[in-house]
Amino acid sequence: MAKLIRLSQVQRDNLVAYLDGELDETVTQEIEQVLAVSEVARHEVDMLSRSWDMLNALPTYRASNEFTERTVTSMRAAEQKGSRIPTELLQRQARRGVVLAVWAAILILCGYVGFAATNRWVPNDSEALLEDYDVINNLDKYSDSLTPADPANPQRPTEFLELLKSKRTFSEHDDHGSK
Amino acid sequence: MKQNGTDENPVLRDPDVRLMLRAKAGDQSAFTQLVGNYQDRLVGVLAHLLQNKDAAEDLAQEVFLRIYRARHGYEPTAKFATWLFRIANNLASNSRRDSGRRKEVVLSVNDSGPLGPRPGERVIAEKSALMPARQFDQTEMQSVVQAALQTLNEKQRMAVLLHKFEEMSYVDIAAALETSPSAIKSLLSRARDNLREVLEPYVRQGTLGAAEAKQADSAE
Repeated sequence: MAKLIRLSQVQRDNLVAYLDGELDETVTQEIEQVLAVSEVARHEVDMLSRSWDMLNALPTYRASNEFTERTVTSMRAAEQKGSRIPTELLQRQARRGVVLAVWAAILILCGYVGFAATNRWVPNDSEALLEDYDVINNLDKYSDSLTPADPANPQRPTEFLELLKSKRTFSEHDDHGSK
Repeated sequence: MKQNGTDENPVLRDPDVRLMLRAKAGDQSAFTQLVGNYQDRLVGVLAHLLQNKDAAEDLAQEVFLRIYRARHGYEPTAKFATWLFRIANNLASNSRRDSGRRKEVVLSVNDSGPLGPRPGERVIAEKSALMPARQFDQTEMQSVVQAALQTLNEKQRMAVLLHKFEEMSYVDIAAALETSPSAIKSLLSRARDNLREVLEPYVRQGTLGAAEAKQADSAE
């Protein structure tokens, strides 16, 4: 019975690939096993092979004698025509380049303006801290200065504050406080 | 140890790829050599595909011109033949679509099925009715095989021609027809099944004719 079993589509595909030498070793062995037991497969392979050989009967067409010359002439014509193309291409690319450069400049300008505006008008807490950095940094010294070295002479802190006021060291702070 | 570029890119071992690279560098004689190397092969395949030798020559010329125009941007990523036949296949498809293929070909293709057999099959059937019990002569055989080829669809026909006459592997045919090797395996399997179906009576007849001829020889 196995001799007459019909082949599946995969097996048929593999038979053709087997004839074309396109199968790997494992599948080739499988096909050879099928061929060994199946008369249908053997007949199939025989017919496929012989019908393929019949294609040898097809007429042989060759290019005409003028083909090369005609083609080379067309190539030269294309070359001459093509020599104008790079100029146009160059101009087109230059125009595109200018447009791109303008857009890039606009983008950079927008970015810069945005950054500057943010810096100028948006309040920043750390800025106030930076402004008072020197005072904060020297706070201990100021505290020491305000503490009377001699408790018997309580005039000194006031003198120091008056000195600061006269030098207007914290004038901005004072103005701010007066508001 | 790697000694040159060909070790890194196996495609560069293809002498036609090297010719194309020379053409890219401005060597026109290299391109003329490529035309010479491929003109008969290309015209042959296209003539079988289109069933019209003049149209095949025109198309082959267009293929070479396309390649020539594209030479500046050429990058060797596949065998030259694969690239050439990919362009040829695309141009042939476009050409047939544009110009109304049925009017141009000698043997136009109709749908088989309820409307009847395809013309190729009809030609074979007509010949079959007249078929004497003798071996075919070359001309008869040619027209039978040509008609059988016309029963295949466009893609099958191209795959068959590339495999049979260009001896391309499934991988190369797949690259030329822009599909996968497994699709080509199925495509060629169906194509060869079709050919077998149409040509089987002639294969048998050929055998019979050969046997008769042998008998006649031995009788003499």
